[in-house]
Formats: sequence, structure tokens, C-alpha cells
Amino acid sequence: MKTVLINPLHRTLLILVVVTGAAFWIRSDGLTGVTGGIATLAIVWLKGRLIVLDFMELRHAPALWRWLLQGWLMLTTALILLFYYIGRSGVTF
Amino acid sequence: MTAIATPSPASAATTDRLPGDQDVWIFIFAELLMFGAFFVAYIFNWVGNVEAYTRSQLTLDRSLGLVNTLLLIVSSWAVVSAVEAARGNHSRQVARLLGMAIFCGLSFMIVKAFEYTAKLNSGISILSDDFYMFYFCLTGIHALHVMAGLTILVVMFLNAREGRYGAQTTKGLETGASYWHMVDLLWIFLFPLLYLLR
Amino acid sequence: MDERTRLRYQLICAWCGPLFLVTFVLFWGVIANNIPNPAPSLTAEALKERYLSNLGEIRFGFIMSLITVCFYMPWTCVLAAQMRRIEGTEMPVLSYLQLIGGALTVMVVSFSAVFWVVAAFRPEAPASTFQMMTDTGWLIIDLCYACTTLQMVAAALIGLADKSKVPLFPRWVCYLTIWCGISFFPASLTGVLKTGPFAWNGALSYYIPYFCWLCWFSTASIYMIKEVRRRMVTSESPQASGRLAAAGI
Repeated sequence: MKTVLINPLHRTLLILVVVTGAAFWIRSDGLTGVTGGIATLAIVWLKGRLIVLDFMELRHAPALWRWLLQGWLMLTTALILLFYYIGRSGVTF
Repeated sequence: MTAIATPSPASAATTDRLPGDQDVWIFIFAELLMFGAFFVAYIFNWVGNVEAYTRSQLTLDRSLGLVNTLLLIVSSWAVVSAVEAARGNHSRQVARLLGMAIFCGLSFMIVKAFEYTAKLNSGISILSDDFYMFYFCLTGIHALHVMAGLTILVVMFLNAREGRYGAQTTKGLETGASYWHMVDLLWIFLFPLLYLLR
Repeated sequence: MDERTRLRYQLICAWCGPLFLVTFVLFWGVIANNIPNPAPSLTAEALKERYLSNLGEIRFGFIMSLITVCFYMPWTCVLAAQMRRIEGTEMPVLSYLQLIGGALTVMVVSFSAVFWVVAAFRPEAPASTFQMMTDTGWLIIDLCYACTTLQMVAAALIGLADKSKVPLFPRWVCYLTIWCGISFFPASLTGVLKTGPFAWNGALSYYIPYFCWLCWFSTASIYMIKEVRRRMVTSESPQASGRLAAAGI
């Protein structure tokens, strides 16, 4: 097991699988209410970040590209979070 | 497995280098912007209809969504491992890992087909309500991207079997890989948005 | 026709691109009340009222746009000529594809606008007629986008294969072109949906794809005009060197 985890790619895969399970657990009433939603979106951001940095191999890419993709990730997650929060607090348009 | 477990010297040389074709990255970024608009449109319409959306969401088979997420994550991992293997000149391993990614991608599509037919058979369609309108549109457009990605993977698999990818010739492989990771990344958003968030 | 005249006509054709863009947005979009466009969820009566209260503008806008949409044709032709030079002269299939794609785009855009002109033609007609005509027009323009997608993909493939020292289009423009062409696909959903962002008045089936189309169109126009200008410069210098040779220098 230890030798497998030396490879950062295996580590990333393991984290992705575990947090996916965590998100599923949250929905199965592990966490309810706004907390559950925010935790789910935090997991989205974490998974996205790992895919961008480790799978797309942008961790060592030129800063411009790393930040373009990370910026997209942050902006999209932030907008979803914002509307999610508005929706949960009962405001209607 | 030990061969790719140790970081190859080639990957150290990739510092400050964009993997693959830079112009294709512009394409990928544009795709991400487009889907970003899809996601925001979904959550924007979700606001104010939370109860109706949640009611329909409960009729989705969440475990099939989970299976599909895991399939795409594993396939993405297989693809990036294939790129690593190519850098280490392990061309047989490249083909094997790509084959694994294709298997996962095909399984994703089969699960998706099951999901769609189950929904359609129980009388749910794109016109049922707003939630299902989004569900079918977003997952449908994503499925088109999966099929495009699978085509790319198959082409790369055939190339890899002929030993065309080595430490000096990874550019094409990296480009296709980036596209496949994008398909994965988009599903990482779609699964929680449609199946989980409430 | 000598080279100078030929190139001058090419330049005029290329400038028809920006001309199309401006007149299309002005007549089809602004004057004919298409920004925002009528929602498919409007009742027949509300839709008829929308026509009656803007009758003059809608008639003038669409009738003018039916003329100016043809600026797309010379532009398509000059692009076909430029593509053919890259593709070679034997069987320029992709150039042909772009050419008919552009021609059919003009027809699709024209036909849909004709239905709206017809709707506005008899204000005394029953409301359901207005609805039928409006539906037909929008479904024509939103479901027949693949002609334009093929036109764009053909142009992009040629651009990517261009080995000239100064290529017609930079590579990133070509990939963006393909992406813009793909961005039309959600518009197919307008065939079934009446509400939401994928209906024909929604952001994802109307504003974004149409914006992408015009974005591609403007970018391509800039590079096509540049290309003609470059050829104008080089066509003058061999003439100069030819005269020098004739003089025996």
C-alpha cells in the first residue's frame, strides 16, 4: 500500500474517490441543510482543483494557464455557491 | 506498476510547460466557459423552485450517478498514467491504460443509457418539468462530449498499440488527455448539481 | 481582369463581412425587435399584440435584413477563394463545403425572416396565425444551424492545415471557430422546449450561440481583410521587379 501511495497520481485518485464517497454520504442524510450543500460544493471545488493540477498536469504549467483554469473553477463554484445560498434563504427573483 | 510508481525524469523536465497543444487549450477553456454558463443557468433557475427541483431530484437513481462519477475519475487517472508511461517509454503500458480508460468511458455511456431508458419508460421526459429539462439537456450535451472524448481515446489507443508514443512524442497524447480530463471535470460539477445538491 | 482589379473586388467582398454584421444586428436585431426576441411561451394573443404595437418597426427591420443578409454571400466567396488557394486546385472539397454552407446560411436566415414578415403582413389575421408563423420562423433559424457549423468547421480545418509563412488564420482562431460551431448544438432543444434557458429566447439557445456566431464572423473578417491587403502589397512588388528586369538591370 505504501509503495502505491508514493506515486502522487495514486494519491490523487484515492482522495478523489474518498471525497466522492463523502459527498454521497452527505446526501444520504450524513449532513443536512445548508451545511450539507456548502460541504458538497467545497468537495466540488477540491475535486476540480485536483483534476486541474494533477490530472491535467497544470501544477507545473505556465502560471497564466494554471490561473485561467483555477480561476474558472473558483468563479463557477463561487457563483453556484452564491445562488445556492440565495435559494436556501428563500429569496425569489 | 512499479515502473510508473517512481516519478520518471521526463516529468521533472515538464516544469513550466503546458502539456499538449496550446491552441487546443484555448478550445478547452472555451468549452469550460460554455458549461460554466450551463451550471449557473441551472442553479439560477433552481432558486425559487427549490422544493419542486428537490422532489424531482429524489426520483433520480443516485447510486448510478455515483458509479458514473467513479468511472470517470478512474478513466481520467488511467489517461494521466498513460501519459506518464509514455514519458518513461513504456509503450505497452500506454496502450493498456488507454484501453482501461476506454472501458470506463464506455461503461459510463452504458450506465447513462440505462438511466435514460429507465426514466423514459417510467414516463419522465425532457418536458416533464424544469428539473428534468435541465437533467436531460445538461447530461445529454455532456454525453456528446463523452462520445467525442471516447473517439479521441480510441484513436490514441490505436496509435499507442503501434508504439507511436514515447518520451519524445507525447504531444498528441497529452492533447487528447487534456480533453478527456475536461470531460471528467465537467461531470464533477454535474453530478453534485443534479443528483446531490438540495 | 487584371490582378489589381481582382484584388480590389476581393477587398470589397471581404469588407461585406463587417457590413453584414452591422446591418444584421441593426435591422434584424434592434429595429425588428429581436433583442429580446418573443418568448415561445407567449400566448397567441400576447404575441399578436407584440406584432401590432411594433408593426412598422418589425416590417421595416425584417424587410431590410432580408436585403442586407446577402452581404454574407460575397464574404463567403472570398473566404472560399482564400481557402482554395491553401487547399490546392484539384478538388477543393472543404472550400466547396464552406461555400455551400455559407450560401445555405443566407437561405436559412432569409426564410425564417420571411415568415415573420408574412405574420406582420395581415394584421387582421387571427392570433393563432401569428403564433404559427412566429414558431415556424424561429424553428427554421434555430434548427438548421448545422449548415453554418459545417461552414465553420471546413474553414477551421483549412486554417489548421495552412502551412504558409503568414497563415490565413492563427491556429487559436481555428479552434475557437470549431468551438463556436459546436456551441450551436443546444439550439436543437428549441424544437421541444417552450421555457427555460434552452428555449429559443433563452441564454443558452439564443444569446450565447448567436453571439458566438457573430464573434467568429468578426474575427474571421479581420484576418480575411488582412490577407487580401497582404496580397495587394505582394502583387505590386513583383510588378516593380518585373519592370526592373525588363529594363535590363
